[in-house]
Amino acid sequence: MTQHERTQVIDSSEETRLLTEVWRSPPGFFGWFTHVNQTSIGKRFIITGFVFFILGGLLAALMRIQLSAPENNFLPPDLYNQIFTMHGITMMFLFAVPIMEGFAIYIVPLMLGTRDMSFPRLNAFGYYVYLIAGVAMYLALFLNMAPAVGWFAYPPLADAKYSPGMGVDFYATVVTFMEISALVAAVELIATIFKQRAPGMSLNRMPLFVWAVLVMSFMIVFAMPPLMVGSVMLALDRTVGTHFFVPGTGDPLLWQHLFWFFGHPEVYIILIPALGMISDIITTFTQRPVFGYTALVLSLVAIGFVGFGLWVHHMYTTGMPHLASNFFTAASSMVAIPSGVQIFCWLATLWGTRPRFATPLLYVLGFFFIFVIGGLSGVMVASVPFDTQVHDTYFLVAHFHYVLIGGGVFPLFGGLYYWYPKLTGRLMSETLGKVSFWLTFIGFNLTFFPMHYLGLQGMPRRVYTYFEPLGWGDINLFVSLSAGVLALGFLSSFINIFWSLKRGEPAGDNPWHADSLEWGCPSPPPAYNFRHIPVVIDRHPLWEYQEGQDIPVVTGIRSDRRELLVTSLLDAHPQYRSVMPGPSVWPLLLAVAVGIGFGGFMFHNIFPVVGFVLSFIALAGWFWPRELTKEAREEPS
Amino acid sequence: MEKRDPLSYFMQHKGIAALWGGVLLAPFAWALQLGVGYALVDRICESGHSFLHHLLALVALLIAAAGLYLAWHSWHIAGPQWPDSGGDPISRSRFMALGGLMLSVFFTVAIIAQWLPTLILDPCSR
Repeated sequence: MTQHERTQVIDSSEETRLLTEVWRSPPGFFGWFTHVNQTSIGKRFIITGFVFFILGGLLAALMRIQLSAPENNFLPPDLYNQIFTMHGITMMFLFAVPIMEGFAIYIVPLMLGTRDMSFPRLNAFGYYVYLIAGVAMYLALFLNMAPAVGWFAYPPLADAKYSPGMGVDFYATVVTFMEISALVAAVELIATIFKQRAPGMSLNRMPLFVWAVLVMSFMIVFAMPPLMVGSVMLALDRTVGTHFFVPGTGDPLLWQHLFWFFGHPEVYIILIPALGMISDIITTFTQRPVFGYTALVLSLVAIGFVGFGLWVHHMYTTGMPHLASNFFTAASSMVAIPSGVQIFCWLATLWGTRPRFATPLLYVLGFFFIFVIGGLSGVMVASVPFDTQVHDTYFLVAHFHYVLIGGGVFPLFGGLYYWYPKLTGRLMSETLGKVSFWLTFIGFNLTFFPMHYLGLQGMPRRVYTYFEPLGWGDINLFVSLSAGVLALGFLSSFINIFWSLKRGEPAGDNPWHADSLEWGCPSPPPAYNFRHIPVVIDRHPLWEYQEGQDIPVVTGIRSDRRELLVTSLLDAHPQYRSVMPGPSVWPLLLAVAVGIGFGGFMFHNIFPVVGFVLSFIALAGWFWPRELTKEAREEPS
Repeated sequence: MEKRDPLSYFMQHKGIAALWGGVLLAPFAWALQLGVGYALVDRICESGHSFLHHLLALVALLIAAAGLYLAWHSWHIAGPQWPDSGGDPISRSRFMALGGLMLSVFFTVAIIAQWLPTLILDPCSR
């Protein structure tokens, strides 16, 4: 066969038709519940995450209205407690982690040059678990039954004795249930990154966002189980009278250890994918390979490890020996080294270039400013004496918002503006984007920087009001007004999302002239992602492909069934082909069954058994063998 | 002594295990020192056996040194250069080996940083 004939075979319209047919998701309302394709599930995670971000933001606005004047009666104390608890739960559990996973689920398989993730049905299951958990938490709030003990629910306050009612029961069971979603997403991201990279994409050629998602996923695998164990123990303390966290017979500090062994890595679970986004955005907008690829990868890996050695710095004021605290002071200070390495590598990449100051890069530059301030105050609170002074004050509120909004939300919005063309096929408005950035940047700093001062003045966190003679009224009013500017910044981005959906400039495949593979497929990607699985010839494949040579592709992948290529872990050498499952309603039914088991436990002990039986039925349906197609039967093994 | 063929070495289990050892041993040693050292504080306060913290630091440093050696050894076999973006097993191995080398140095410093307070602070002081 000549080269021309070979090209005709692999480019035939019949093959494209087959691929479209095989990978398509069923249309219609009922079909929606059977989708399993990664682009579909990733988009759902992203949209749902933003909905929860808006809800969490509205809760923050209510808090700021309440605090805008001393001795204000806008919110009663118990409702205020429910609101700050739900704000934390929403932003940490329902927004930040799921939306990072959503971007990872959508983008990573495209960056790897594959057609779907390793476990598509598990992917859909994870989404439904997340959705059910989020709706359940907000139902509790609307029924005035939300937890009112902070997002970390310390016993003994969270015990049945001091928090009667269903609020903490909702917290303990729903949090456990919700983390199943994070875990399944992490497992399949790891499997996909290790085994489905396009041939030639050895470990040292992986895009930095993929590295970041890999580190994030491993962190989720190790961080979430302690929280799930802890929240099950808390639920048992409350419902069946065990004494895990009861003072005297149990140990309330055990909860703090279990919680913060999850809670501190959680910060890095949010931050690390954002760091990956920043590396890719800077590479694209400077049009040069990132400086210090190896150092950046190592920094991500080092942060991934050290992130697990900081949890006790949330417990400095619990009365532990100074020596014990100092172990964690050392680790907390050490994490500044890999974080600093990253900043210097990015600055070196930007140095001497003429970057294109589009909205994604503006958000990244905003990250630099804000995250460095948050990092510096982080080094301050890593020190035991300083932390003891500012513990549970607004200084902490300022610090962690600088870290989480600066380190997580700014790069996330940068990523949104960057990948929106890939998701929708249209560019977002640059004018509105720049307005949004400046409102967000100015509003953020005016809102949170004065909180450092309030904290140093002694204003405690989690109080629904304060007395006038304390003199905090003017600054709190200023903070509340500034929060309005911040909200306008976010609002203009959301307006931009909807406006650009219909009116945005058509993007084409690669509007930014980026280097990684997700920009090598159409925007938005077809159901099968890539017409041909590419072969990677460099760390920046799209930049290399454009230098006039033919693009090497994989042949031999069947188009008449959902088939993809599995490659080796280190070198991405082709190993075998794997057949993926198609659309199915069973992931939804399994999520509902597991939800009944967990949710029902709050009301009666029989429900876990009911949930188990229903889950068994759903799993039997999920794995029920299907008759092979004629072609599959005929294929030699 | 016969010169080792780097390509075949880094395709075999032994070479790959050495690469992973170089990457993972030092972080493991750091985590061991942190977890066990933290758990030992109250025990050492009661017994007065503060040498246990020094012994633990020594064990952690030895494990980290083993990781450092494996990474250094692998880097020399792969050709001691800064990693490039080649797609061959030697480029990938050089990347992992140098990564392991840098991670080992970083976590060795972290172990020393965690050991220093045990020289100064009384385990019973609160």
